[in-house]
Amino acid sequence: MSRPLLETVDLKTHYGGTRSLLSKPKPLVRAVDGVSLKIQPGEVLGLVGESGCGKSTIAKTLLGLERETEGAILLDGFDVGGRDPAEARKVRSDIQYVHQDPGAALDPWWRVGDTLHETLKIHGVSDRAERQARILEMLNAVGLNEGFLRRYPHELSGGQQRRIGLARTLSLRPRMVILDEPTSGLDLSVQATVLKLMLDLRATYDLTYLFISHDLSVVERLCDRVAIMYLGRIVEIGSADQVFSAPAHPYTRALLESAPTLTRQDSGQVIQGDPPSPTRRPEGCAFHPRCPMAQADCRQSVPQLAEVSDSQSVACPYAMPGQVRPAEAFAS
Amino acid sequence: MSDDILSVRDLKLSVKGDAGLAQILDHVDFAVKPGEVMGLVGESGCGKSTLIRTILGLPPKGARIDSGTVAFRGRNLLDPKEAQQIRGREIGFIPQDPFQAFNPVFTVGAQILEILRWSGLPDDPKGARYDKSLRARHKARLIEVLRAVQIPDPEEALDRYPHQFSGGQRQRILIAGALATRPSLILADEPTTALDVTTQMQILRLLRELAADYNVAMLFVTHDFGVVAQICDRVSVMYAGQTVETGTTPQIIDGPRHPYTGMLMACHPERSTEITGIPGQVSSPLTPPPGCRFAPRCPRATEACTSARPGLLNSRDGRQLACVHEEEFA
Ligand SMILES: Nc1ncnc2c1ncn2[C@@H]1O[C@H](COP(=O)(O)OP(=O)(O)OP(=O)(O)O)[C@@H](O)[C@H]1O
Ligand SMILES: Nc1ncnc2c1ncn2[C@@H]1O[C@H](COP(=O)(O)OP(=O)(O)OP(=O)(O)O)[C@@H](O)[C@H]1O
Ligand SMILES: [Mg+2]
Ligand SMILES: [Mg+2]
Repeated sequence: MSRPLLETVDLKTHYGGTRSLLSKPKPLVRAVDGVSLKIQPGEVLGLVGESGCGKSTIAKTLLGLERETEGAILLDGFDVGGRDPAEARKVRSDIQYVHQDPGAALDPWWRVGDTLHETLKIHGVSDRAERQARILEMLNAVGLNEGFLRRYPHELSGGQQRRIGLARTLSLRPRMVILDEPTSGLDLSVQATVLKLMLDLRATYDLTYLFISHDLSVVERLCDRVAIMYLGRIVEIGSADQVFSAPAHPYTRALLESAPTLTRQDSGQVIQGDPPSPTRRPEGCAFHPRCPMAQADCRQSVPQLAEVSDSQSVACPYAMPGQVRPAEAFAS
Repeated sequence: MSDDILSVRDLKLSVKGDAGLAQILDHVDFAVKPGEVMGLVGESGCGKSTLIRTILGLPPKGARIDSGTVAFRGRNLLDPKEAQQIRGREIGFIPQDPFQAFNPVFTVGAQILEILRWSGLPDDPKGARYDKSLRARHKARLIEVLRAVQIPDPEEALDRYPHQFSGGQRQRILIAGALATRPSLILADEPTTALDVTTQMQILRLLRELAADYNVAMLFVTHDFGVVAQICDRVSVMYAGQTVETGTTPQIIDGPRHPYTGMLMACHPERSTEITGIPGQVSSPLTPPPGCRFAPRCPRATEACTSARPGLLNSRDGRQLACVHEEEFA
C-alpha cells in the first residue's frame, strides 16, 4: 500500500476538565478518545456515528482548529501534530473543511460574492478575473448561478447556504477536503448533483475526502471505506462494500436496520436507549448498555479493533463477521 | 364548513429584498385534517421554511401576502393578532436543530417554563397571576409530557443544562415542550435531520404514537421519503413555491403522477443504483418562469405549460395534481 496522505495514531481530543480560579470547573468531555486512522491519497473515507460521538471534533483536530490532547497526526508521513492553532493551520493548509453549519462560512453583512472573493484573496489568488472564473465554475458545479453572488446570506435557504459553503471550499483547490454532513438538508436531486460533483472533482483535482455523514445511503454510494464511530472511538472500519453487506459490530448492524426505507418498518427491533454522554462514558465497551449481545466481560474491558477479514476490523469480541444483512440476502 | 384543522389556500407570498422582488410562494394549496400527519416535501429552497413561518404568523421580514388564505379551524392566521393567540398554544412547533434551540446558560426546565409562562396552558385559571402555584402547575404538566416522551427522571432532568443531554434527548425535550400546551396541530421543520438513524427511528415512532394518542395533527417538513414512509399519512409536494401534487403516502411514493414527483422518486437510492439527479436547476424566485415553474426542466413540457400556471385539480383517485398533461386522466 502507498503511504497514507493522512494518518492519526491514538488521537485523543478532550474538552474541559480543567479548573481555574475564574470559572466553574467544566466536566471532562472525552470527545475523541483514541482514534487511529489512515487515509490513502484519492480515497473517500466515510465517518458515521450518532450525534455527539466526536465526528466534528476529529475534523477540527485534523484541521488544527482544536489542539489534540494526545496522539499523533501525520501528513504525508510528516508529524504535523502538537502545534498552536495558527501554526497548525499553516502546515495543514492542504486540508480544507466544509462546515457542518451551513451559515458558518458566510458573513451575514457581506454579499455571498464578496465572501467568496475574500476567501480566495486570503489564499493568495490576487487576479480578480481568475477569482471570478473559479467562483463561477464552482457555483455552476453546485447548481447555483451568478445571481447568487449579489445575495446576502439571509436571502438563501438552508440548502443554498450549504452549496455556497461547498463552492467556497472547493474553489481553494485543496488536496484533502473534510466534508461535515455536506448533504444533510438537501433534497435527493440536489444531493445527487453535489455527490456527482464531488466525485468529478476528485478525479479532476486528485482530491481525498473525509466524508462525515448520518446518511447511510449516501455513504454507501460515495465512500470507498467507512469508519463507524461510537462515543469517541471507532468500533468498525472497513471497505464500504464489506461493512454494508456484512456489518459485524452490533452498533453498525443497529444503524443499518434503523435506516428508513420506502415502506413502513413497523416490526423490527429498534435499538433502545440513547447514546450516553461522553462525560459519563460507561466502563468497558461504551455500547454495552444498549447492546443486545452484551456479556459480563463487556462491562469490564474496552475491546480493541481487530481484523475480522482482510478489509474489515471490528472492536467487539462477539462480532459476527460475514453475517449477511437480511435485505441483501434476498436481493437478486 | 370543512373539518380541516389547517387549510392553506392559493397562498402567494413575495419578499422584497436587496436583489429585487422574490416571488417565493406561488399558489401553495393543501389542507390537513385533525389527527392527520401530513408530509411537506420539496426541493431545497422551494419555500418550505417560509411557509412554516407564515403558518406560525411569523413571515420573513419584508414579506407581502399577494393572495390566498391560511386558516386554523377557520381562524385567520394571516392576521397577526389572531396568529399570536394561536401560536404556541393551539399550534406547537418543533425546530430543526436540537442543538441551537436551547440557550446553554439556563437549565432546560427554566427555558421551557419561561415559554409556558407566556403561552399559558389551556387549563390555567382565567386571569390568574403568574405565581408560585401557577408555576408549579406548569412544572407538573411539563414533567408529565417529559415522561410521555420517555425522558428518564423528568424531575431531575428539568434542572440539567442543555449540554448534559444528547441530541436525541434534546429533541425529545423540544417535542415535550411543543406538546405541553395540548396543541391540536404541530409543525415540525425537519426535526430528525440532526440525529443518527437509530435515534431518528425512535423519535419517528414516538411521534407517530403521540399523534395517535393525543389526536394531534402534524405538518412534517422533510427531504427524506424514507421518513415520509414511516410517519406520514399524506404528502404534499412543492416545487419552486408551487404545490404540484398532494396525495396519500402510497400514492406519492409508489405512483407519483406529477413529472416532478416522479423524477424525484426516481432519484431515491432504493429506486436507482446510480447517483442520479434531475437535470437543470431550480429557477430563482427573483425570475420565476411563467406558468408551471417545473416546465423548464420537464421532459413533458409543451407550450401549454408555459402559457398559464396549471390549476390544482382534484383527481378521481383522491389526489390533487397540477399538471396539464394529467388533466385528461384526472
Ligand atoms: N467546545 C466544546 N466544549 C465542551 N464540549 C464540547 C465542545 N465541542 C463539542 N463538545 C462535546 O464533545 C462531544 C463531541 O462533539 P462533536 O461536535 O464532535 O460531535 P459530532 O459527532 O460532530 O455530533 P453531530 O453529529 O451532532 O455533529 C459532544 O458531547 C459535544 O457536546
Ligand atoms: N429576501 C430574499 N430575497 C430573495 N430571495 C429570498 C429571500 N428570502 C428567501 N429567499 C428565497 O426564498 C426561497 C425559499 O426559502 P426557504 O428557506 O423557505 O426554503 P426551504 O424550502 O425551507 O429550503 P431548504 O430545504 O433548503 O431549507 C429560497 O430560494 C431563498 O433563496
Ligand atoms: Mg458534528
Ligand atoms: Mg428550510
